[in-house]
Amino acid sequence: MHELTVVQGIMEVLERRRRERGFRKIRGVELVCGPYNCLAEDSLQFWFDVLSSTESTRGARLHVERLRTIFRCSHCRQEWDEHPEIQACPDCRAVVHKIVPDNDIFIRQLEVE
Amino acid sequence: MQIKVMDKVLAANDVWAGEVRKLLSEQKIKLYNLIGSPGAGKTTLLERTIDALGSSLRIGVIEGDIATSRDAERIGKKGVAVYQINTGSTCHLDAHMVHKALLEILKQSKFDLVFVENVGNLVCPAEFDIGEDAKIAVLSVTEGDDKVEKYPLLFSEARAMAVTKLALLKNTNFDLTAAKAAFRKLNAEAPIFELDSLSGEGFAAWIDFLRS
Repeated sequence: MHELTVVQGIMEVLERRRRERGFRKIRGVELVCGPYNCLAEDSLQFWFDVLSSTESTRGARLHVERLRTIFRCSHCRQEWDEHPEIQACPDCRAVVHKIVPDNDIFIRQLEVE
Repeated sequence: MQIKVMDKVLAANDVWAGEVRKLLSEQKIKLYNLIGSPGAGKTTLLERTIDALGSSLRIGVIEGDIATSRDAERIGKKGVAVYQINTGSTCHLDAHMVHKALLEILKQSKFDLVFVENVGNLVCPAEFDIGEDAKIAVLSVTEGDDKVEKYPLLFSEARAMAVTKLALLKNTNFDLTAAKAAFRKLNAEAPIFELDSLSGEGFAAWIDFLRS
């Protein structure tokens, strides 16, 4: 992934949200990404620090959560990881759905002042 | 104070991908995005595909490379409208580049099918939606059967996998069964085409897929 491009995108979102919501400073940015396009958090933090030219973003900490593919029973809601492949719940025999997260990168939440 | 937002970060490219889709819909064009390593056989696959499709469909090609118009020249020899994008240094095509290229190529002709041959790279092109109807993953038997697992984003998002250079299989230790199984693990439905572009082996099913 191009951490620099992603950070530019993050900065655009932060600026827009700052104008809309009027907060003074960003303390933290929580990101989520899909299982296959994930970002290196330390590289992202590095480029974020480089591009932070204003007081409102300087010093903010970035956190990236990588969403996983899971299997979930449609009835009893039990969940399993990607391995092994299962189609019927071993407990209630209902259909098990494979839930694959989007491979997009989202800002889920901001910590602001 | 915490603010929940759920804002997409790479929204700018998506806006242009939307413009590409609008243009494709207006012009009734299907767009295929061919993604594979440098040397996977993308251009040769396109040359053979153009031959096989004949004049039954109006075809256009957008070539993406860092430098040279060598691929566009090869495609041009097939008598098909082609436009070369030279990115200079960027390792992938993005939707804005493809939108501009489509406008250029549409000055030459109308099309039923446009192929984008992306910059040779298994990594970055998969990350950028260019407004395509389908990403096609191109993997040759000389690249190693471990590449499907190593590059999961492309292979999980592809709507088809074209395995190329089948005639060379006997000269390699490429385990075709293993590569197909690895693909199925990431991608439940996309068809797999086993092709040899120089001989035309396997092309009937591939052409049916492109037409559908």
